[in-house]
Amino acid sequence: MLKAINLLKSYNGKKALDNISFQVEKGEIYCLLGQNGAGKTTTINLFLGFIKPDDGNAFIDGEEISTGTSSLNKKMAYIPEMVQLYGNLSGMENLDFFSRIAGFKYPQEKLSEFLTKAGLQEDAHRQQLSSYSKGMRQKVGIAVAIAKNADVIFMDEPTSGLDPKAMAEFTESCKELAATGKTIFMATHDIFNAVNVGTKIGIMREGSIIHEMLTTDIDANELQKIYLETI
Amino acid sequence: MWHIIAKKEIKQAFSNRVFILLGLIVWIIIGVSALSGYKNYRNIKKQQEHAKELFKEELAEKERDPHSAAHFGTYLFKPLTFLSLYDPGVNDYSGSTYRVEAHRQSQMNLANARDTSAILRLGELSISTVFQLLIPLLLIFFSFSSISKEREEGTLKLLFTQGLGIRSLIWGKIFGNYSIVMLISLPVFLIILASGLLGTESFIRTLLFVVAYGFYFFIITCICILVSYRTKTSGASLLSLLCIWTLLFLIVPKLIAGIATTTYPLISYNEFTKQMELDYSNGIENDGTRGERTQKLEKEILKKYNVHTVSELPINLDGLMLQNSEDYLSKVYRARSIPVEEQLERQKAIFKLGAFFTPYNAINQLSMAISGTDLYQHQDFHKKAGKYRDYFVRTLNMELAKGEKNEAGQYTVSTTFLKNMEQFTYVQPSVNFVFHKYPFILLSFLFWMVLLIFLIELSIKKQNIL
Amino acid sequence: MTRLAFYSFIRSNSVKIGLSFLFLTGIISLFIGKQFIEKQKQNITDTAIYQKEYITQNVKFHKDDMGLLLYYLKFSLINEVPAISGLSIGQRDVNPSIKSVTIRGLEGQKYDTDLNNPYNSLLGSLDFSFVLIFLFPLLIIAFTYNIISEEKESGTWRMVSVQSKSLFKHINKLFAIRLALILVVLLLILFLAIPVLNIPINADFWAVLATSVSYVLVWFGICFWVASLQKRSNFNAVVLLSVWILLIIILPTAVNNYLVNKYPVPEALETTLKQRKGYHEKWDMPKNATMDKFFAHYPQYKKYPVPEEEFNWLWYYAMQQMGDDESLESSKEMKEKILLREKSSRAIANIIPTIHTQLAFNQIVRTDLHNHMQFLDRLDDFHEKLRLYFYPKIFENHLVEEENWSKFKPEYAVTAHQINWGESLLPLLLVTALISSFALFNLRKI
Repeated sequence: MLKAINLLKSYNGKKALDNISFQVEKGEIYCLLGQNGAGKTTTINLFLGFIKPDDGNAFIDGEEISTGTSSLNKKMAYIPEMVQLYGNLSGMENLDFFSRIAGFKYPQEKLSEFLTKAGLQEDAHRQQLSSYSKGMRQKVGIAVAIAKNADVIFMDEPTSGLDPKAMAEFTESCKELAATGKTIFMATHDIFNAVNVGTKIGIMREGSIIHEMLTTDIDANELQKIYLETI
Repeated sequence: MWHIIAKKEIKQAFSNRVFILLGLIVWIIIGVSALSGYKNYRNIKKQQEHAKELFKEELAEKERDPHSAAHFGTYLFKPLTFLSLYDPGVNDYSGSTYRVEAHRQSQMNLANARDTSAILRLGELSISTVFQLLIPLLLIFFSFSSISKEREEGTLKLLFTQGLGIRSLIWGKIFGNYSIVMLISLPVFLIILASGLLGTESFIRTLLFVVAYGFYFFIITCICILVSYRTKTSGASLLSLLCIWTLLFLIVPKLIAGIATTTYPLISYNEFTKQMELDYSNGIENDGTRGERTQKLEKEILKKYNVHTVSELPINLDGLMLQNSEDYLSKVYRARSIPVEEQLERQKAIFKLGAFFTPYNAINQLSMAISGTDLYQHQDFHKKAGKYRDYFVRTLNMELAKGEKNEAGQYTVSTTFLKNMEQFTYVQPSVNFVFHKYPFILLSFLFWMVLLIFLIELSIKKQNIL
Repeated sequence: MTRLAFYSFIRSNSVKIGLSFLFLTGIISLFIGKQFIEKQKQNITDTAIYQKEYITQNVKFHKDDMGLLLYYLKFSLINEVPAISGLSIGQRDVNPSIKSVTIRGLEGQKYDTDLNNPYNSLLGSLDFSFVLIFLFPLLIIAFTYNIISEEKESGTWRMVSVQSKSLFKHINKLFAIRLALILVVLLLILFLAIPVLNIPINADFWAVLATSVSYVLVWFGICFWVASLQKRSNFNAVVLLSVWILLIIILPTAVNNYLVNKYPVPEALETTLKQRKGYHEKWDMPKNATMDKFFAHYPQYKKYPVPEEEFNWLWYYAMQQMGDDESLESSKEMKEKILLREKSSRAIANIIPTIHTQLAFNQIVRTDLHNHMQFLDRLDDFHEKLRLYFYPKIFENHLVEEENWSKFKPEYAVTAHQINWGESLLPLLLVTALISSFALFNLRKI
């Protein structure tokens, strides 16, 4: 589903991505582990088409990525690190707005259904977003992705700042999405979350993927050991 | 797609309490300014009408010697155009009365600015001030973060992955914010338009007034959104926009005024009158000195009536002599006015050029022009008043020349004659006048639009998403 | 510690840009002031030349008729333009500094305005007072709006509060650094003004300097107070900018509208009307009526017989005199009204620092309305002096060539001028003290 071949990107002479290559299959949850500045966000930005690689190619569903809007936009969704959205609109209005941008006009019941599916309680749907907790806002973000019916969902540090309950709910949502055939690509520095939710893990350092492994082959302690050795 | 963005922008604004408060404050300020403006307008109008009646009556109070009636003269008032309510323009500084008197070519006098303390110099609270200075500030306050905040909070990335194009984003934001400012101004615009319903000409003027400000607000919105798009954080957007506002709305206009006066200074009034008086006694264009001119004229008249001495003339030579000296005074005045007017024209050219440096100068001049309170229309009044003065003095001198005397053997004009002398009625130049005098300003509006659209398209190409 | 805080502030690019921008505009304003002064000075020199030329010319033309000669002759009175007025041009651009009058009726000549482009006056000039009143506060706001809030937002506040012995001292230090920098720019501009404008270093200069510093202090007081509320940076910025708009644009313009409506000056029209009647009516009246009034005003001229002939200079100048005499009352009323307006604007200004500073500046550098009114009073005296000198010469038909015409040079009006330190500075200092004490009250517990 996702494919990176020898991606190269540098800012002001400093290499952000150094010849990175990987592949993610349909239905997988790929977790990119690494410290701040390892190049995780750059990788995501590249796939989202916000920046151009200096060299190499990236593909989604066999189609090469170019910057700007393209037909590929329909296939992907994005959940940013700080899901801020618009504070003085309700969760439902936010969802409606972002869906309309993507070209979908859903009736109210449908919007409500998406929010519920993303795990947001019914009574919160019409409240202003400024009263939401981080976890609730993230659920709206997931609802946006569901509503768009994207094949690939990119997530940037989705679990930072979530309480344990929200974390558990989030893991559940991800697994459900993957079960329906969605591919999830997330950048994180949370090892336990990666083992919990991911199917495949890549450890990044200074713009390169140093290790890549399936979560079925490894447990959290082993991963932590490898991670600490790598970075 | 841009209309979804625009709609969201409007919805968000109207659910924001601070925004509603700001809108209310603007309305209150406009209300207060309109009210006090109207009071002042009515005051002046009443004073002028009262004085006009009085002057007319006093002149025709009794039989007068024609020449002393010409000396008695009258005063002409520059009528307030009704749009001066919305934009008083140069009225405070230009003077509103014109003295009609024999042997004298007057300047406009009794400017307000003369008698007020320096407070006036800090500005006048009129609808034009609110529209020209405060609405742009308001626009800055509610639109500075419209893109940069989305960038800060990451929603911008989300928008783009949802398939939004940069062009739709920017134009959506522009039209969203533009709609907001137009919605705020709408009640005021409607009132202004309604006030213009009295006549076709006035309706066209109010319509132009509203349209001009409509364009102006659009230009300002474009600047705000452009800056919001080009800056990384909302703090930086606000700072940049405030700097731009200070520069374009406070500093550059004054700088342009400074450049205009120093590059093309006007001579002082003292110098002007002295030049005129010397010209008058020495003569210009080889006309000879004053004495030579009178002698020449006397000879011509004697020849014309085919007589040898003045006493044989069937007319009163004094009248003709006086008129001749009036004519000569007018000639000298016109000749000496030309360089002054040319210098003024050069200053005006600089101001017009200034419209290409700041939209404030563009709207400022256009708004005054539409309201009939600009320098051109002031000069037009002065010119027409001067013409009437020449007519007034000539009529009385010719009466004197006829040589009619009363029982006491004095030259007189009757009260009916004085009463029936043509009154001065000033007809304001038509709207067309504005277009003829200010093609450059209209062009500058086009220039700003094109420039901004160009800059916006350039930014779109640059793809500054992160 | 103070040094480090200073470096951390001055290293920011925007601070450098802001300071140099302010300095640059300040310098430009000085040159605009210089330009203005030079033009005025040029006018004064020209006036002296013209007056001489003009008198010589006319003496040649009308050498056998003193009355007719003085009908034409103009004498100039100059309201001196002090070099320091380049700092605050005030009303000098609309009220001329030179008046040239004949000994005929004064009222008709008193209000002649200079040739000027009213649009220029409308836009106003970029003089130092503008830079100080409008632009300095903006930079002060930009420098100080986030003094406490930024540290709170970035989290350094708690570190500082743990590390520092006195938070209060820390805040003071931050303000002091910014105040020092702003004052350095202000003083730099003012001291550069000395050579640029050729300003003598006297009480006027120190008064301008003290007023400027006090005005800067007012704004620091306002910023200090807003900081003491300990709200978020955005809130501070919005509040401070609103205060700026209120003090710079809304209040002054509103006060102006109020004054114009409250004290209209219809007497201006009335005066011209009375003057016209006073003088011109007399042509069509018996000569005795005019002469009686004239002799009542000047008993010393009773010795001259009432003229019999149709035209006579004694009668002519008596008529001219009547124009002034009969409009005297309304002229006085007008003056009182204008002074009343001036007085109430000063009273209101006491609580609005921006207006106060502008008025105080104009007063110190003699470009205010009051100075102009004084000049007009001196013009009255000057005119009266000329009349009293020439009347007997005209009435007795003195010979033109007997007069020493070269002694009539333009004269300078002597206007009383004193610096009222208390009136200039106290309102500003009181406002500063008041606001700062609010701020100190807010900060007493940190």
